[in-house]
Order: sequence, then structure tokens, then C-alpha cells
Amino acid sequence: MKSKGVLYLISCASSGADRVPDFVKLAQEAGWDVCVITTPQGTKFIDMPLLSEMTGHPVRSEYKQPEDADVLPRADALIVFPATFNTLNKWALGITDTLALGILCEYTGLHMPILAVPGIHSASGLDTHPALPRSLRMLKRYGVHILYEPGDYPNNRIPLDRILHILNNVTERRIP
Amino acid sequence: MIDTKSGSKHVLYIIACASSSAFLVPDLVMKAQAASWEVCVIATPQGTHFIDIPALERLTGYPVRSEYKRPEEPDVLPRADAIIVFPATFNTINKWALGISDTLALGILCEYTGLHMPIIAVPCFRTGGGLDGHPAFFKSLNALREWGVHVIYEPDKYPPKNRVPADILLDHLNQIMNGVEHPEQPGNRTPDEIMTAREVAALLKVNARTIVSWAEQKKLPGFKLGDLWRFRRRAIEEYITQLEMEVIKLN
Repeated sequence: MKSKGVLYLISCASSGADRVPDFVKLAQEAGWDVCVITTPQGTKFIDMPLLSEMTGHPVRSEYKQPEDADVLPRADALIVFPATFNTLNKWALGITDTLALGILCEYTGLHMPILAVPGIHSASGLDTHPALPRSLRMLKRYGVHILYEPGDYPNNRIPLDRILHILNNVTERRIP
Repeated sequence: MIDTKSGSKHVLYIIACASSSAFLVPDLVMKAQAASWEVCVIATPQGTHFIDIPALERLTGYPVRSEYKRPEEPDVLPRADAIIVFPATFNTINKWALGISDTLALGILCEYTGLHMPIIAVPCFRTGGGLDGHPAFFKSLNALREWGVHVIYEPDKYPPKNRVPADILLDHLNQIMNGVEHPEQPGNRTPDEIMTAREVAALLKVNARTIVSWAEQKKLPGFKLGDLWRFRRRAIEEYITQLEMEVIKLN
């Protein structure tokens, strides 16, 4: 399998995070060197030692201290899976008070391929809060790819192979 | 800076954010003190990792605050007459423009912005690092400028991180305090202000005839009153932002 490069998987505090290990495995099989990063709240939704062992990279969630060295290689592509309401809104507005958001805002400005898969419960209320479509629109305008199909998949639980397929389209075709 | 009426020193807050440029804060403190400012340093919670708090407390004689006080605690700092945000991060600039005040530093900034007090903000991060390409940043800078904040962001002049030297910041502050420079005072610079070609020319540093010619060619948003061209400040500023974004996209 030809190496595709480094993929940052940014995982937020959503019940959809239970599928992160399976997606990591799938992405690795497709040739990605995966690094998992999570928001501080997201740490409660994933098994960090397991993911660190699977990927061979530490799972980062906090900004490093100024004197510490970078522990992750630079990314060639990013997937935000699952992306919460909170992270999507802060990202669109340029709020970088977590490491995950700092990375997302940086790579957005660099116009790198980014796919965001919201993990938001259908009919929870957050899915109909006007801020969400506004943020999704802004992110699309910045060149971010959004995979949000709650009409077809309740709670936007899109099959993993479909997510990987879209990710490959985004990264290979480098859709602007 | 001494108050001419009371003879006492004016108070300057220096607000330090989490940036690799924060090591320059002591230099700014000392130079401000040499210019007769009474200086207090405030840091964002993340910013505390980037400064030597005991050293700055010794230098200023005030505690370095970074968290909101509890309601029953007294204020430990005198009120400020002016504020310099140095270094300002992407995060603090954007939250400030949105009115999010979840840190003490942001609370103070939002308060003093509403009070129309003199504030200089100096965003310091690497040009081309990505954050300067995020559209929210320029939007926030425009909003802050519109509200009267003096943003000094000249990354071409101060590469690679817009570390504007302390002397220049203090000169600028001095001019603001002496009323020499009030270009960003609310009132005479409202977003709905109507400008003449000559005023737009002064803003864009070109000839007034060039402005009229661009307007005729529909290269600049304006309108005609009789045979005189007039321009809405907001439209001109939005147009500049749009041009900036195009340059970033090309790069």
C-alpha cells in the first residue's frame, strides 16, 4: 500500500467518537499515517492509550508548553470526526482556545484539505440552532469540506467506508 | 505619562497573551515606566506560561492578574488610562471582536472598548503560518478598528511575527493620549460615514483623480450625487478586505 502521508484525525466530545478506533484502522489500511488529536472534553469519549498504541503517536489534547518540542509530524490532510456543534462554531469564528481548534484554524488558513463530519444528534435542538448552518456555510467558504447528511443517516452516523471514500476524494482531487 | 491636572502618573495596562513574543513584555514595561507610565501587567490564563510572573511583579509593583476575582475580593489594580495588548493572539483578537469575555483579559478589553478608552493591539504571530489566512482574523481587525481600537498590524514592516518595537508603540500611544492622532475615534469615523474622493484618496494613499477614475471604471464602490463622487466608508473598507483575501488566496 502506497503511503498517503500524515492524516490528523481530530475527535471531539460526541457519542459518535465510539467509531474513532475503527476509522483509524480503515484509514491506516488505506495508507494513511494517522495521528489522533482530541479536544479537552473529547478525551472522555475515546480510549487514549488504545489510540496511541494503534497509531504509534501520542494523542494530544492540550497546547504544549513554550519550551516543549513538537511531537507530531506536520499533516497532509485533516479529518474532524466527530465534529461537535461547539467546535464547528468556534472554528468558523477563529476561536482557538484548544489545541484542536488552533490546529484547525492554522490548516484552514493554509488551505490544506480538511473534511469535517459533524457528530450531532438529529432533533437534539443543536441541529436546528441557526448558528450551525451559518458556521457550516462559513467553513465551506473557507474551503473546508463538510460531510453532513442527517437526512440519509440519523445523527449523521455515516458509514465509515463512505467517510473514507469522501476523504480520499477530497485529498486526491484536491478540490479547491 | 503624567496627568497634567493631578500631577499623578497615568496607568497603563499591558495585556500579554500566549505567544512566543511574550518574552518582549519586560522590555515594553521598562520603556513605558521610563516614559513615566504606571504599568500593570495582565495575562490570559494561557499567557501565564509565556511570562516570568514574579519578575514582572517585582518590576511593576503590582500582582500580575490572569483570572477573574471572586465577587467579594477587592480590586487590586488601579483603573487604566490606556491599554496595550502585546502580544495579542489570533484567539484573543477574535474573541474580543465577538464580545466573548471568558478570561479576565478579555473582560477588561471588552469593558474598555465600550468605554472608548485608548487601546493599542499588536497581533504577533508568524506571517504565512496559516492563522493570518483565516478570514475571521481580518474581519475581527476591521471590527476592532471600527470601534476605535488602534490595531498595529504591519507584518511586512515587522517580519516575521509583527513584533512592533516598544519605542514605536509608546510613541503611538503618546500621540493618541495627546490627541495628535484620532483617526479611529468613534464619532468622526462611523462605518456609515460618507467620504469624498479626496478623503478616500488620503485613506488609500493615492491621488484623488485616481479615485474618481477608478470609480468611473467601477473598480471602486461609490455613487454619484449630481456630478460629484461620494463613497461609503464601510463599502471601501469591505472592498479592501476583499482585495486582501484575494491576495491570500493567490499565495
